Formats: sequence, structure tokens, C-alpha cells
Amino acid sequence: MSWIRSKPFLWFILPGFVLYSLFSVYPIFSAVQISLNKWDGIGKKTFVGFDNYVELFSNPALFDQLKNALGHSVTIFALNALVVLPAQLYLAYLLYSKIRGHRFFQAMIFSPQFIATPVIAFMGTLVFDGNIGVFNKVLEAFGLGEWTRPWMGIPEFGIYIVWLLVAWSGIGVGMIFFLGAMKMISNEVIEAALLDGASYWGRFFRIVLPQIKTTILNMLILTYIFAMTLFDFSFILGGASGGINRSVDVMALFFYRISFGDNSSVGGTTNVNAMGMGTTIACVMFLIVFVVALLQVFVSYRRTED
Amino acid sequence: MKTILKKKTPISAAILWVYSLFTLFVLVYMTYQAFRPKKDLLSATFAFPKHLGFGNFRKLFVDAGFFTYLFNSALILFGALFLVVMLSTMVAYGIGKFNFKFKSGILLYFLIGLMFPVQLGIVPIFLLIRDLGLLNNQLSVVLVLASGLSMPVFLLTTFFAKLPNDLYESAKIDGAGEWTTFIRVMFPLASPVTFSVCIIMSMQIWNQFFVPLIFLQSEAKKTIPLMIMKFTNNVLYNMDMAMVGSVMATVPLLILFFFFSGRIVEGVATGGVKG
Amino acid sequence: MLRTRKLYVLLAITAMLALTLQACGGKNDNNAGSSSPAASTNSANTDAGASSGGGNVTLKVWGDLGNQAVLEEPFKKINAAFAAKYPNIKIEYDFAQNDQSLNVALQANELPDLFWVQGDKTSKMSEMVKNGFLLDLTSRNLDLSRYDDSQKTYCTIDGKIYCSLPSFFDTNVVYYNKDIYEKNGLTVPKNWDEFVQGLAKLKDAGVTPIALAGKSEWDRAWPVFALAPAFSNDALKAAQAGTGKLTDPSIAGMFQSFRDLAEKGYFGKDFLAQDMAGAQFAFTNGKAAAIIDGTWDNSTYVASGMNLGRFPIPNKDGKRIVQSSYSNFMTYAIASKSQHPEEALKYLELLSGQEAQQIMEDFTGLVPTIKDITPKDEGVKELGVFDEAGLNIYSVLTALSTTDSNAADTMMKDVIPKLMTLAITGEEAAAILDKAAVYPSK
Repeated sequence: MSWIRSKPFLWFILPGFVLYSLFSVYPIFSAVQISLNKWDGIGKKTFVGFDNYVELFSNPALFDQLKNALGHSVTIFALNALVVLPAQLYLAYLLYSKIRGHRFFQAMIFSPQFIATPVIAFMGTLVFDGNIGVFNKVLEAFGLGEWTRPWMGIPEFGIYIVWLLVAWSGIGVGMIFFLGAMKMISNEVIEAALLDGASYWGRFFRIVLPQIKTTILNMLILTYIFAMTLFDFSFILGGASGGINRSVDVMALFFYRISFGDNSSVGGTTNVNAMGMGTTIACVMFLIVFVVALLQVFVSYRRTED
Repeated sequence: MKTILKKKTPISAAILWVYSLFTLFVLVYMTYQAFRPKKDLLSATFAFPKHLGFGNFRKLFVDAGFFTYLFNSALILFGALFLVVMLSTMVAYGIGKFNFKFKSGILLYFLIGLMFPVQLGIVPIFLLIRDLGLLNNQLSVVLVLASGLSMPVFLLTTFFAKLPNDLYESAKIDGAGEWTTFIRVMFPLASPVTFSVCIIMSMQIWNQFFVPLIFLQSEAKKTIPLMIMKFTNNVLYNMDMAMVGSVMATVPLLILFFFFSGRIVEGVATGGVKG
Repeated sequence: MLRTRKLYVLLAITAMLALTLQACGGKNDNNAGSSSPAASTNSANTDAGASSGGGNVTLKVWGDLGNQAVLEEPFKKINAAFAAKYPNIKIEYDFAQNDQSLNVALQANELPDLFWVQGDKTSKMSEMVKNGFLLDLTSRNLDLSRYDDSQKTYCTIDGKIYCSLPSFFDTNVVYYNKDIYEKNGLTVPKNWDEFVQGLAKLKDAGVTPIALAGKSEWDRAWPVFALAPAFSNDALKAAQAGTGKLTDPSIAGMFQSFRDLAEKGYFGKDFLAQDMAGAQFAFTNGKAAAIIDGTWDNSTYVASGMNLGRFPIPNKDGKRIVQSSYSNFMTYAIASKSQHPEEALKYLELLSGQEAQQIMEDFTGLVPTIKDITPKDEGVKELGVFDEAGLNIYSVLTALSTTDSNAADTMMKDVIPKLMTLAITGEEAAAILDKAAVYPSK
């Protein structure tokens, strides 16, 4: 009893730890086990050790898809980290400083979060479709009829369209969170800065950003994880095959295609081994995400604890 | 003091207006289409509206049983949100405020849940839920969604770590136990961030599709995203219902958010910082 | 204050524990008495009580979630008809089945008593049979007198029958806007050349001749599904039997014709970026003169109120051979694990009978394949006008596939997009499929 008493944090961590371990972590371990088997999903499993991993990296049909999908996932992360994250900080600062109409802006920027993903895609059709889209009507009205296009699906834009949808629907999340973090900066710090006579943007860079540094690093890690596990928009825009020439394919979609889609056009033995290979891909994805997240967590915490 | 922060930023304001008005336009356009009968929607999508009416809404409320789905969604939302916020603030407080070995390790452990596709781990969860006898019961979805603690724990931990220690000490000197200190002193202090977490998590729970699909089978237990999917599966055939369903799943929430969010955030923020 | 908080927490934990325990208890009852493993605790309990009293059983049935909006009303009425006939069998019909939930149910071995299957259209049913998930219906006296061999084949795996029989037809036709056709002086084409000339005329008039959803894996393939039997029915038959090859000139020519439509711009500007909703909107709003789509979407176009016509694509000799596959709206199988196979069989008997099929027809307007089902209206009759029911190319390729190489999938995900983007010719398309196919040994 006294051992527990001396560790009060256990009482706080334990309930969440148990629920989380049971429904979020335990299934992962049981899935990892599947990746060591040859399994089509409903028949008998055959234990094959690390054969699936070897095949994933040695079968060119699979490896090419892996490279392509991974490249797209990394592109999404890079764009999110370099464009969306700064935009979120910028928007949060404007709202924090109570720009006129800030409540309206906040609601509007966050609002795509309220809309279910298939509906967002459907709204995209209504607004950007080549024939009945409003946007194209506007272009025609301005005499730019030549420019009308079905903007949602232009193949040569591929993954960038996916990114735009992700950015539009997700920008509010980080923004709301940065806003919360800014609101926790103590009054003394801000007042000191004001006495200093720093300009509006000077305060942003010299006071606000350093104050919420940890939050930014945390959001960067989350951005990375979300980008690498992105699925919805690619699936809706390109189907299980990842679009023409796999132009919108991402890691999670690659895993999904092999596990649950019809997939033997990739060659190899994936049809008789759909779940085995699919799980293997998910495990590789997990490893890639985990190792980088591990580095990020340790680097950022080392720094903040100084 | 915050008024002094103001500055005229015309370019930023313009950007915000363009961006927000675009989003507003999309929402208003969707709402407008929801008032049109199916025939007009299909063959005169862009023509001047001839018939506007509440016919689609009547169909949604009466024939499609919208309120059953709404009730289930609300039940799951409040159940899961309560658990998520309660458990994640507790965990974050435990990790952030106390010193012990493997802190970063535990934090990382709580991140793992985000890195693996839920579709793959669903069968073990399914068996677990079956053994608990919770199949086709909303509680199953509440439990599974409430276990998604990764993001809130990760985001909240640093805030509890940063909260001033003197408040904690003085509460202890006053003779308050750990639990009281947490609920009465620390929890309110972190409320601006907790509130952000609340909003983000409630949207994730509200739009959750896959988990209810697997665990809720009968129509009387299904949630709003499943109802919307029923209409978007054959989107043109059910276009009137897809429109009005999306509007009813989105716009009321948004209006609530617009009118109350400002006040709630202000309330907790000022109350909290003054401590 | 402190004490009440603690009390609340204690209460909450106790309540949760109690709930869990109660639920587990219910689970045990469930095991002891009842059938449906996935039934909710509540109904399982009543079920258990009733069955010991004698007679009453509950059957759990999974319906097609993807077509719920279409099937909800007809199945309400079909289930009511069943309840009137068998008052002591309760049907718990849920729209709960799609690929994902079926996969989970299979892996967890928790199938409902009855669920819908796609027969020989895909390889799924045969996989389930091979792993012992389905009940063999061959010796159970299902009344098959209304059906012919091709309908029985749909349900047959290795000579045994596994599902209720299909009675409706799915095919692809050209839906066209009569007003636009008339304005441009066009009528229903008598042969392929006339059809193509019409497309050229429409294009010159500034109308998109055929709306095509280039982004949608299935919908963009409908022209190929329609062209394949019209151009190359005999060659496909030969390939399926192992007496011919997919490189037959008529098959290559068919793919080339599809490619030509794309190359000449008959699918309109930027069709590659269009999804199905966009393509359908283009048609219903009069931006496109026609769309090649399935008979199942007939009611969507009717609902738009446009001046609608339909015709099957004629081949060069003017013969109209349409692709035919059976609708899976009423084909259900029984799980081998079901505790009530006799009762479940009664449900399949109803689905295989004229009464239930007429109910389905009256709601959905599918194309009936059995004479005693009366078509819903004139439009449905128009869908059924053709010279010959031909093969479905997807089924042919599925038959030529093994678990290692799926030719049907290669066509959908590799060949068709490459044809649309003009990356390969018709001959190359046929060669790719020939390489992917495994022909039966003669």
C-alpha cells in the first residue's frame, strides 16, 4: 500500500492506461503476429517467419508500389509541415489578437471538421465539377470558359489535390490547438513584451512562438503521424487502386489494397496471402512512423528539459 | 490587456475573409440545395430555383428516422467524450506533473495507437467486445472510441508539465489530497487546452465511421455517419436525402459552435489563468 | 466536496463493473440456449426462453449495406410476407453487410444465419465454400422448377448449390437524352457505324456524346462491359472454354474501339478527372447526350424527369448482344454454423419464389429473367429489348483467374486506365490479359 501511496501518479495513469492498452495496443500485437504468417484472410494460416518482409522488399511489383506510396506520404508530410503548420500558427495568432470577426473566422476555418469525408468529396463535385460546378460557372461568367475543368480529379495534380483537401479540412485542428496554447501564455509575459515596445509581428516571433515551442514540436510529431497514416481522401479520390498510375496512392491505401482489395494485378503471391502481406505492409508503415516519432520525441524533450 | 495586442492587418484580414467566405459559401450552397426537390437537383442543378420547400426535411425527420440516429450519435459522443477527456487529462497530469523513470517512454507508448490502421486490429477488438456481450450495443463504440487517448494525452502532457508548481504546493499545504488538487486546481488551469482537445475529439468521435459500422448492426442503433453513408452510396438516386442529411449533420452543430465557442473559451481561459 | 467526488468515482466504477458482469452473464445464457451468436443480449434471452417453450426462433439476416436505400422498402414487405407465412419464425433483418463487416465476421467466425452473396460473379463465395462457411443446399429440396441451368450455375460451386436463385438481370445500356438526339437529327442507331457517326455529329454540335466517369474504377468500365459481348461474344466463349485465346482479333478490336472513343474525344473534356456523380450530373443536366450505365441506375435517371431513352449497343452487323449477369439483390446463403438451418431454408424458399420476386420488381424495376414476373413499367421493358444475352467479360476473366493471377482485376485496374489514357493499343490490352489469364486445360 505504501508503495502505491508514494507513487500517486499511478492512480492518474492507470485507468486510461488499461483502457488504451486493451482496445488500442493489444490488437496491434495480435496483428503483428499475423504478419509472420501466410494467410488469405479466411482459410488456414501457415507460419512463414519473416518471408513476407523479404518478399515485400524483393518483389519488384510490390517494392515499386511501396516506394511510390511512401514517396506520396512523405510529400504530404513535407507540405503539411512547411505550409499548413505555419499557416495554422499564423491564423491562430490573428485570432488570438482578436482580429475583427475572429469568432466568425474561427468557426469557418474549423467548420470542415464537422463535415463527414464522403460529403466533402461530394461537395467538391458540386463546386468544382466540370459541368455543374459553381466554380466553373463563375469562370464562364468572367469569360474564362476555356479554363473550366473538373478541378477535383485532374490526374496530373494527383497527390496535390489530396493534400489540398487534407489541408482544407484539417487546418482548423492545429489552429484551435495553437490558439489554446497561446491563451495559456501568462499575462506578465505579454505585458513585459508590450513595455518592450515590440511590434505586432515582432511579438509573434520573439514572444509567442518561443512560448509555445513545445506545442509546435508536438504538433509536428502528430502532423508526421497523421500524414504517414492518411487514408480517407486518397481512397475517395482514387479508389482502392490509388488512381490512374497510382497517382494518389499512400501507405495506408497500399496496405488496404493488399489486405482487402482485389489485388493480384500487382503480381506475386498476394492473393493467397492478402492478410499476411497486408499486415506486413502495415507493420513496415508502423516501423517507419515509430522510429521517426521516437527520434522526434527524444530530440524535442531533451531540448525542452534544458 | 489583450486589446492592446490589436493592430490593423489589412492583408491578413483580407486573406481570412476570402478563405472564410469560400467555406461559408460551400455550406450555404449545400443548405440551399437541401431545400430543392430531387427532380430539380438532378436535371436543373444550376438553374434558377423553381421549387423550394421543406419536403426533404420532412422526409428525413419522418421517413428516415433522423432522430434515432441523432440520439445514438449524441449518446456515443457524450459517453466517449466524457471518458476521453477524463482519462486523458488524468494520464497527462500523471505523466506531466510527477517525476518518475521512463516518462518519455510512457508518452511514446501512448502515441503508438495512432500509428497502426484500425482495420487490421479490428478482429481482436471484435472478439473482445463479443465476449463482453456488447455487440450491437452503443457502449461498445463508446469504449473503443474512448480508448483513442493518443492525441489528447500527447497534447495535454506538456501543459501540465508547464503549470506552475507553487499552486500545487500550496494546495498540498492546505491539506488537499492529490485528487482534489487535480480537479480543483490543476484541471481548471489547463482548461483552454482541454477545451481545444474537447472540440477536436468531439469532431473525431462524431464523424467516426468504421467502428460503428462493425459493432452496430441494427438500424435502431446506428449513428449519423452510417445514415449519411446509406444515402451517399447511391448518391444520385438519394441526392435529396444526401443533401438534407449532410446539412442536418453539419449546420446545427456549426451554429452552436459559432454562438457558444467564443464565450466558453473566454470563460474558461480568464477564469483559469486568474486561478 | 472531496468525499462526494470520491463517491462519484466509486459509483461510476461499480456501475461499469456491474454492466460488464451483467453483459457477460447474458452472454452465457446466450450460449446455453440460442442460435444467433451475434444477436444482442436482449433478444438472445427471449430467444432462448422461447425455444425451450417450443417453436419460436429468431433468424439473423444481413442485408446489403451498400444498396440499403434501394432495398429497404422491398425487404420490409418481403419480410412481412414471411412473417405472415411463418408466424413463429422471427426475422431480424439488418443492413449490416459490406466487405469490411463480412471480413470481420468471417475471421471471427460470427456469421449471421443468412447473408447475401454474389454467386459466381466473384470468387468470394467459392472461397467461403472452400473454408466451410456455407451450408450445402443441394439435398434440401429447394424448389428449382422455375429456373434454368444458367441461373443454377450462379449458385453452384463444385456441383453443389449454396444460395437462393437469381431472377433478375443486370446489364449495361446506353441511356440517352431523347431531346438532344432529336435536335441533332439522330435516332436509335441500327449498327455500330451509325452509333459512332452519331457521336461525331454530337461532338461537332458541342455536346459531350457520352459522359464517362474516368475516376471511378467500375463505372468507367461499363462501355467495355457493353462492347465485349457485342463485338466478341464467341471469342470470349472460346477463351472461357479453353478453345480460344484472349488475343483473338475481335477482342483486340473491341478494346481498340473503346480506345478510339477516348481518342476522338467522345467522352468529353477531362473525363479522366470526372467521378460518377459528375458524369451522371452531366447527363441529367443535358451537358452530355448519353451515358453508358447499368440497368440498376434506371430509376435515378427516371427520377430526374428528363426525356429518357435506352438502347443496347449494336455491333457492326446490327446485332444487339448485351452483357448479362444476375442481380444479387435476392441471392442469400445460409451459414453452416446456423442453429436453425430448416427455418433459414424457409426464408430462401420465399426469396426463390415468385411472390417475393414480384415485390422486388414492383419497388426496384429490375429486368426480370423469369416470365411469371411482370415488369414494373414500359421503361423496364425497354431495358429488356435485345437480340441475345451474351457473356459478362468480368465473369469470363474471373473464370480464367487463379488465386495467384486475377485477370479480371488486371482489366479493371490496369488495362482500362491504360486504354483511356491511350498508353496502350487494343492489341496490347488483349496481350496483357492473355498473359494474366490461366486457360482451362482441354
